[in-house]
Amino acid sequence: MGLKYFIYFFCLSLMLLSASVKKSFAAEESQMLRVAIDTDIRSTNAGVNRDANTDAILHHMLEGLVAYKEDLSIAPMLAEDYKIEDGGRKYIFNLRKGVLFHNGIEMTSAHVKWSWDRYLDPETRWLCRSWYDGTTNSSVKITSIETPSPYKVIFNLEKPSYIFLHRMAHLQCITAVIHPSSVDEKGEWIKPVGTGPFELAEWRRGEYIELKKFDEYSPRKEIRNGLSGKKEVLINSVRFLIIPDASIAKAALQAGDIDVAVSLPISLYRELKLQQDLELIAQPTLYWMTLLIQNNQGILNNPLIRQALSHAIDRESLANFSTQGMGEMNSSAIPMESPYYDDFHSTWYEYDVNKARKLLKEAGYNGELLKIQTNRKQLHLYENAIILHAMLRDAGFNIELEVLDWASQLNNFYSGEFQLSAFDYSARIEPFLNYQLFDRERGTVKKYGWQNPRVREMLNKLDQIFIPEERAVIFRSLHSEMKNDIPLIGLYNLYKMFVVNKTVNGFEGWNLVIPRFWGVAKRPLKGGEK
Amino acid sequence: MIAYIVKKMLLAIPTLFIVALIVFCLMRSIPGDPAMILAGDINDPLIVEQIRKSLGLDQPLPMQFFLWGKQVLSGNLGFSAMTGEPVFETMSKRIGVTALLVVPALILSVLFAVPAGLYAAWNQNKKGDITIMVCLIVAISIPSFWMGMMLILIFGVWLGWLPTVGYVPFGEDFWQAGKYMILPVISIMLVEMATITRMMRSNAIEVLRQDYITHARAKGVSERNVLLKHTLKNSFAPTLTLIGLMLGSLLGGAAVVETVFSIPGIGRLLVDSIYARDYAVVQGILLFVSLIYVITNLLVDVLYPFFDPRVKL
Repeated sequence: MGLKYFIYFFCLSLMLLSASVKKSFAAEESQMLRVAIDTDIRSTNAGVNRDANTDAILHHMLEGLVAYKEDLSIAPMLAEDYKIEDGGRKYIFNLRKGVLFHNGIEMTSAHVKWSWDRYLDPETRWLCRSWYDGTTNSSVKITSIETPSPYKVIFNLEKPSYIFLHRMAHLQCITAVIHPSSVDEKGEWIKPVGTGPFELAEWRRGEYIELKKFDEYSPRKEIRNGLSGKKEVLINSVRFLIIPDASIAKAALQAGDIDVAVSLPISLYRELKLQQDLELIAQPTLYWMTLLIQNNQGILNNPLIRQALSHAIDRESLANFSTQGMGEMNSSAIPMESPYYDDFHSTWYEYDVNKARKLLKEAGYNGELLKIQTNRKQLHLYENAIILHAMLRDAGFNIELEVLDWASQLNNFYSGEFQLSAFDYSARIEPFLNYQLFDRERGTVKKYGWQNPRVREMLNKLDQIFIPEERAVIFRSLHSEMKNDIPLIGLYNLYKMFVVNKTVNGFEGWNLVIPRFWGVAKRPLKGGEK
Repeated sequence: MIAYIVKKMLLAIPTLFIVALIVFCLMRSIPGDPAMILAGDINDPLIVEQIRKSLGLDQPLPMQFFLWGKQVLSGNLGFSAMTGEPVFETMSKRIGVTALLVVPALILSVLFAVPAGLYAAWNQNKKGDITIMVCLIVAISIPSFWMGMMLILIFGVWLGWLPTVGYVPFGEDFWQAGKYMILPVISIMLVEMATITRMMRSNAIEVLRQDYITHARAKGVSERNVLLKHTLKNSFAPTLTLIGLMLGSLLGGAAVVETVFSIPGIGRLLVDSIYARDYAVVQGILLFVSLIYVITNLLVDVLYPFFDPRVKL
């Protein structure tokens, strides 16, 4: 009897509590968008202490002179327009008038110069300083930044550079124009005072990051396009809740406790598609899935073995499985969305297990053990490794999986201590930036990489070439060289899934992955709001 | 008593030193470079070197340990490589959250487990005992993450009675905070309750077989008094040791429940910091957890004579 009353009392208490929770949720429901992210941000200091989530959130608060459009071309953002002079040595930006920082002060050329001087100061520890200071052979040296008027900025470069604008628009190293009040008198970072459509409201480490609408934001007139165009905010605030576990984020979405989930694995696609109150936005990204081959030592130094590896992998099936049947294999470092991608870039070794076995025999392979490194933190890499392991074993390779944690795998990548590694490269929009990652001289990894003087020569040329057709020819040659040397095997471009509650309108995905919460409302959109 | 406490505190110093040394060596022996993790996918060797220098990782290992030890002795646990925040500040925010989760869970566990254990012992091998034992085996066999997920699914998704994820500090809104804490507290409580009940039951069975219990019964002492005055007090002492150990373990290791319910506690911070190779934070937390163990064990030792008069400090 006592137990029965206890259960009644317990259930009644829960119901009463839930009623008041729902009431308080309802009050804020239309004002705030709740978004699940899987990890906390590193800092609010753009390009200094960052990761993908940090960048994604900072792009809501910060803007640079230029930004990427959805077709992967560059558009002016804080600049009204720009022109390139002196054969690519001089970049002139006319600034938009009336753009305000979050503290209400109007942005001028002095702020642009101050921001760039800060980025280029070694004390700032900006991760991409070497891209602009001429210290490495892949660097573009900015010789001076002139401010002839409050609304004009001129960047003078040591030598012509095609890539300069792409680096300015780079997603990871945000070249945002910020107000000097973002730092204290000693130059220590306080918080971002930028020009973006949102400003920082609160950051509770490990819990959430809340951004509020910047009421005095002056949007561009062009329609929303990538990170450029009109950024009209239709909600009061966005709260990015840190929910590390994907299944819990899914449950919270189903319970209506969050509105958007941006980091659910694509493997949940089919299951979530059955939920009628959820909208799924799945699309290819520029993240390139690969199998890295340490070709500098051991049996993998033998080109016949590397060819056998290429023939042994059924990339079509792998891409099909990993993208839930939506994606295709991609052999090339050039993303399939890039204007430089054409049929030539799909050429690679066809899947042929018998040919792989024949090549192994020719190469004198005696069952030497090969290991594929992977990690469980990035589920897609782990799944790739499992499938690759099965395919290579089927072709006659003596192969094992070596499951590490991500930090160890990354460490081994940089130190070259691996044979095969299921790895991915994050989005680089301009293919030149992708290819130079693989080259041992130009890239940052010195103990693994591609060593081919012809490739190096082509990469050296590419930054001076401004004509797209000429660039396309060189990219084709680079792909041919990659096919000959096989420093890695390209698999497919990762598919990303955004899951959105159907009460949310205006949310759209795009191939650069970064979620955008301008033009998004928790009500039907009116004409022209997108 | 005071002499005993002072002696125990002095013994804690070499214990903490050994823990610090082991943690330092273990963290350095696992592969993974914090500087490379910080640099992420924009990896520039010059910048990596700069980060490494700023974190003191360019120094020889004994020097790194010496510098860290010096910092700790001056009351500074260092700075997080990932966030740049002082480790002590980060930890103190998180330990408060974990304590608000763990302490109520443990108190509730004791409140349910002690009577249940006593009741089961009193009815040994009868229907009540068997029912309790079956429930205990089920509760003890269910991993806390699964329990958490099931609670979220039932009360959050299906019934919609409670929020699925999140955390509200008690200082901000007491009732809201309570609502967010119900499910995580229950998922910790059920597992801990099972362990304490089992311990309490076996201790009580042993006590009920003692001669002084038979003597009390022979004297005509009521069963209620036999249980509450003689059995409870004598069988609770060993259970108290277990509760002390549990408190220490939960304060440092409720990471699973914290991850499932997205609660920013110290356990989740520890796991995240291990993955990020944030040496200063991991070392700081483990040192702190060791200190908690020392303190809770000391508290248990001090409380022991109240339950078992044979024990003298």
